[in-house]
Order: sequence, then structure tokens, then C-alpha cells
Amino acid sequence: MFTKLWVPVFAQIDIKNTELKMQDGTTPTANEIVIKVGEGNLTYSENRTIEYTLDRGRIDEVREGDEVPMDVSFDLLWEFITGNTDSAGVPPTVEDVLKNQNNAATWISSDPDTCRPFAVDVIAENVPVCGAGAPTQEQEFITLPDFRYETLDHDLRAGTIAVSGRCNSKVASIVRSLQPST
Amino acid sequence: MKDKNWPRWIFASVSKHFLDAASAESIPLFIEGQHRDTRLEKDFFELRTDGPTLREVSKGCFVFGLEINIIVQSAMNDTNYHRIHQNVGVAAAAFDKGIPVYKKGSGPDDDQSFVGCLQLLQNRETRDFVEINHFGQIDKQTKLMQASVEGHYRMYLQTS
Repeated sequence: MFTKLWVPVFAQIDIKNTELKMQDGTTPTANEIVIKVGEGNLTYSENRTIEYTLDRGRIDEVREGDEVPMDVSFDLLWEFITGNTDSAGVPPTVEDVLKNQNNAATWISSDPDTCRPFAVDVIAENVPVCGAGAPTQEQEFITLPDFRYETLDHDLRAGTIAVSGRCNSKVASIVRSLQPST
Repeated sequence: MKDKNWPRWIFASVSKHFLDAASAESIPLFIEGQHRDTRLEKDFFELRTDGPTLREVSKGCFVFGLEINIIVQSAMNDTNYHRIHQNVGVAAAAFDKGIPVYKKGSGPDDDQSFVGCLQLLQNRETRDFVEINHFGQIDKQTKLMQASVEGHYRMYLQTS
């Protein structure tokens, strides 16, 4: 009998299954907060420069040019810009963390070189769900290391803050694993 | 390549998913068109699906679309006016982000193995969301409230 085979595509990545976080460089347990993206998005671009050298007009040699840092941008749901400083238990806001101020003033840069400007790791945790019993539930953690913002676009009408900046890294660090059993 | 069993497996898996959710709250669930006597049922769900739509978006990669609709019916109850809303909540909560599809059935192709994952569509631009509509008391003489809960799903399958 003719057998039909197919490969299940488990689940296309979906921002609704992806939690976005920021982590500092505190060891062994880093400070972290969840980024409320709302209806926004997170994008990152890995770039590299490839130089093509011609030999008397013909394509010949190829080499990699100067390294290029990753571009990162994401949106925030704008509730408050700064955290409530009346209580030490109140978590900082994302903007406090990015600026290393107020409730995030004690956060330690993710970049071990303390002479450099403050940086944090941005982490996207993709944990797809397909109901109880579905096989091979895997997850993937995407870390964008040492992110420093360059632009904060505040939009009062939309109630959002658009953050863009770069990472001091060429590529994201990606770890894929099985989801822990529940 | 297409498989004749796909629509049946999808429907069977979806039926089982919503049956489990309704049974957990002791609410009977019927399939649209199924013969039943509901005269003594104070509350029940009726499941209806439209689709699946089938589209080969690239060689061997199929995208399925499925519309799932649950009619919620509750007898009017003077001691608990929120009854219909409670049951609507049960139905809406069953619209999980993912519903696994298995080769359910007792035929030669039905080995109960995993086929794929139906993913709930939630998108403001395409008006995809879990939608609740209340129809109220459907007839002056009949003390019955009706509502519907609807959601749209998508599944990818890559054939070899």
C-alpha cells in the first residue's frame, strides 16, 4: 500500500507565545523584568558586511568586512515611565532599567566592562503551546546580549514607547530545548 | 500531497477537545446535526465547525483554516441570572491557543498519532478573536437564553 508521509510543522513562532524580558548582569540570579509589548512587536537584525573583490572585472575573492552590531527594536505598553519609588518592592519600569535609574539604579550592567555605558540583555522566550498531550513540546530562548537603547519614541495618543538601539554583538545567542514537563 | 483523512481527524480532535472542556463542568455537548433530546437539559453546548479550508502555500506545505462555533443554551434561572454568562465563560476558556490534532478513529489509517497543531488566530486587523455574542431570550414563550462563542484556527502541515 502506498504510504503517505508528512512532517508536522509544530507551531510557527507567535509573539503571543513569546515572553520578552530584560535581564541585568547580577550573578548568580539576575534581576529581570517582563516587557509588556501590548500590540507592538520586537524585531532584530543581524548584519554583516561581505566584500567582493574583482579580478580584472571578474568576480573573484570574497571576504568578510568590518563587524556590524545587531539592530534591535521593540515597543512598550506605556503605563508609567518611572516606577513608584515609595516602595522598594515595586519593580522598575522598562525605561528605568534602560536608563539604570530609580528602582533600577542598583541593576548591574550585563556588559562586564564597567567603563562602557549600561547595558541589559533582552530575552525572547518562545514557548509554543498545543494543549496537553501534544508531543515534543520544545522551547527556544533568544538572547540579544548587551543591548543599549539609542532612541525612545514616546507616543501619548497610542500609549506606547518605541525603543530602538543596538547590541554589542554580531548575532543573537539561541538555545533550544525541550519544555519542562508540567 | 493531500490526505482524505485530514478533515475527519481535525473534526474528531476538535470535538474531543471541546467535549473534555464541557464535561469538566458537567455541561452536555452535542454536535450540530446530532439527534438528541434536549428537553430535560437546562444547559448545553452545540459544536459546529466550518472548514477546514485547505491551501497549499508552497510545495507540500498546507495551511488549514478552521472556524469553530459553540452555541451555548441555558434555561432561564431566577436564582442565578448569570448562568448563561458562566457557561459562555466555560466555552470561551476552551478556545485554547493550541489544539492538538491526532489521527483519531478506528479505521486503518487511524493510529491515534499526532498530526499537527491548530493555533488560535488573534489579530485585530483581520478581526480574528474569540468572539462572544449574546442573543438573549430567543422566544417570548420559551425561557431559554442563547449565546455563541466563535474562534478561528490555523494549522500548518508539511508533506514529504
